[in-house]
Amino acid sequence: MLQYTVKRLPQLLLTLILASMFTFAMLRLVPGDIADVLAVQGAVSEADKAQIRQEQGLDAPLAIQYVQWVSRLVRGDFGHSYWTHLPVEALFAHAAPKTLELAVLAMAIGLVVGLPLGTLAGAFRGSLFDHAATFLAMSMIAVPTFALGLLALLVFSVRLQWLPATGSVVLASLVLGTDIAGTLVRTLRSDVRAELLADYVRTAHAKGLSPLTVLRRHVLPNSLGPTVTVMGLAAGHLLGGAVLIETIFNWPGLGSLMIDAIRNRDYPVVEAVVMVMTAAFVVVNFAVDLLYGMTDPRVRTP
Amino acid sequence: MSGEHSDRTYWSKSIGRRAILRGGALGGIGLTGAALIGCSGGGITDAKPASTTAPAAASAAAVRRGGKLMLSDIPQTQDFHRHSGTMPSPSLVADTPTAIDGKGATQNFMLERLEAPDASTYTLTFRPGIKFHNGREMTAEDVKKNIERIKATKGAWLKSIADITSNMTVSGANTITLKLSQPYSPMTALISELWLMAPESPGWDSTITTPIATGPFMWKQWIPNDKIILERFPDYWRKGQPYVDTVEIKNLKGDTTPALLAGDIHLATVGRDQRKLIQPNSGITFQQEKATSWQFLSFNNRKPRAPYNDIRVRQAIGYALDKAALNELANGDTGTVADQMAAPKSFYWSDKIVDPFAKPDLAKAKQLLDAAGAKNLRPVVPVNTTPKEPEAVAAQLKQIGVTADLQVADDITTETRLQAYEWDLYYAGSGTRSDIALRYVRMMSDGPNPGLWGGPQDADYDRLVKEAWASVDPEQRRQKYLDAWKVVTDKLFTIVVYHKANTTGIRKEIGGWETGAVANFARIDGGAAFAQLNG
Repeated sequence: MLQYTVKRLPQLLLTLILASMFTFAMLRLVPGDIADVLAVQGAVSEADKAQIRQEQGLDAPLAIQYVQWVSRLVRGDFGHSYWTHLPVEALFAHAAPKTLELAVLAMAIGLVVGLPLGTLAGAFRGSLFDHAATFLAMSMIAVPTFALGLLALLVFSVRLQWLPATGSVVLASLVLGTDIAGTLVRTLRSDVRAELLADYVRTAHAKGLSPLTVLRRHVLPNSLGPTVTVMGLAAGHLLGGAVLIETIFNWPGLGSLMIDAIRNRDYPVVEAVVMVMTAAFVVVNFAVDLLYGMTDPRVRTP
Repeated sequence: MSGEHSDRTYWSKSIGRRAILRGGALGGIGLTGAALIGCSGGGITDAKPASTTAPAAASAAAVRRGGKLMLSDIPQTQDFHRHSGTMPSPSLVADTPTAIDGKGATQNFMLERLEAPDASTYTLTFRPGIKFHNGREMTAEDVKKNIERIKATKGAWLKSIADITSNMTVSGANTITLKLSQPYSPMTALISELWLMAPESPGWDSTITTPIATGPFMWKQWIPNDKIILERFPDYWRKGQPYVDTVEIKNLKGDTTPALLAGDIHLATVGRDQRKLIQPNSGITFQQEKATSWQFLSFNNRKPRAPYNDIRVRQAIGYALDKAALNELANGDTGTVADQMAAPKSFYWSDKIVDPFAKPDLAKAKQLLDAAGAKNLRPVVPVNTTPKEPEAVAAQLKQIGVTADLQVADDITTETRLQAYEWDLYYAGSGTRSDIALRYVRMMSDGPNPGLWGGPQDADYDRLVKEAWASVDPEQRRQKYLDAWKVVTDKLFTIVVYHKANTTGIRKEIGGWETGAVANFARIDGGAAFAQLNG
């Protein structure tokens, strides 16, 4: 297992390096920088722009800028926001827990809704319940998150006034969790169904175990392998979805922070958020791979 | 726009031009804030206009105290010397020497007296007893340190004024004389955005992290990207104010109407489309701002491509515009078709100017294009984010055979393109300003961010605007501005389409809120310091 882990680490590192290069290059390709932003606001003259670029090191060749940024990054120095003049770490300290809160809640909602629905839909394939669960799951996946978010906002906040329109983690996580629940139902339903047709299940039934026990003790644990993978991927989607949802619900997390930073060409903040999100995605999927490797020896066999 | 007529009445009834002229230079200076809204202004002759206590209407018995006022803003920084665009929030925490009142006129605010024998010398005498949030009394030395800090801070708000302040002399606890290196009559209006903070504010030497100032509310907490919490300052120099205990400023992006409807915030700017969605029984009332922003179609003036450098082609484009249709599309009854940078019927506006493009004349437009030999025109038109109005402009131009190439991008990308001057037409708007000088300066050769107006570089225009700034007589200054505007219309740098007044939706929980002529949340005669939460 250790050998497997060590072999995966260079891949992990390479992913992060490529992500950093891509983020850095893409951001510099976007027209305008902080000096332009300040000039647009009328705060600095054309002459000042050159000096601002010099002060921020934006006039150096891209390769040098990149190396300087990476060397700061590895020392844990994310730099200062051009816009708020605050250390990026301070912005993170406020935003990251908010995104984490949203993601964990959304994941929890996804699991609470998706696990029983998917399991039961698979167990009672062809039943009315199965059809209803499948339809619900398809709807959850098919309706775009942003559309569902806007709809939920208008219904629950504006019309019914049950929940705040801004800064409501309940509504935001419900919307975000819906997509996960839908995906889980679809995956689990198929896997449970496939397991139910396996020989060992028939054997278990023949031994006199109750259908519920067979489902709980044998079918479900064996169906969760692919589900764990799906959850790993869903974690990545959660981060992506959070950008949209945080904007719709004005939830002050990393996504919202990044949108503002992109708008303001606040390079240090955008780069830091993208790198942290990428790292989180990579680490979660690495953990999933390890988990998978632990449960299925075939995976770690060369 | 209904307020503009009454504003003009205010001008003739309240102070009177002669009285201001008798008041010397100060009267003229007092007019500067009137430019945008059709009033004139009261001239700064003494401290009377700025009451030091809450208004009579809010007598002690009637005042409801306490509660939390919830607003929305996207603050860039807690260092009020460093912000780079109009920001309503600082006014809650920091006061300014002068202020723009609800009619758009400049009034003394923290100042007891302002003397300006000419447009180059300004003696500011502050009211005694004004305290900072830390309990220390503010002095003229503090004012000097604020101006010095602004001067030393790159990109600071009002840096241009600090830069031309060549000498500062403190001549008493509360008096400071500013000597400018050039005559600049908009000075008094512009120092309505000179946020004064205590030098002991943490971060003074770099970036202020907790502003200590003299305003109605004290800075308690800022959670970037989330909210700001302010608390009532019990020692505020305007005795009795403010009435609410706490202000929460939420950092909301995009359309804030849902937050207003849900009760997350107490007031918000609402657009025309959103107004239609708000039910009459929602308890939300609307107030129009007393100042206007203006919309225009600019030509690339710095590097014009043929044939857009031909005045006949520019005129043809002007004749193709249907200003009334564009105004209706964008504003309905909150806008008015216009032809000048100054708002219709405002002091700096002239009824002598006849708008050749008041109504579309497609036949004339086509004749002009033929005469110029211009065929199959495809002007490049940068568009920032929302293409609804530019698309309407494009449709109108299509009627004379001009096919606009709309290039939609975000704000900064568009601005960057504009400043590269690789375009032909640009349809845009510009917001309210505390003084019309801030509008005229944009079309000067070295003006800030001139891209929106195609970067004109015209010596006559520059000279006339500078002469306007040097004029202490309001009538003379008005005439200089109008002469400068004639340069704009003769050469068709830009075509004004309409002026519009923003609408604020106010929830029923709020009493005493009055929108003003500037975007500030707290103002001399309305806003947050006057707001009360209803039962």
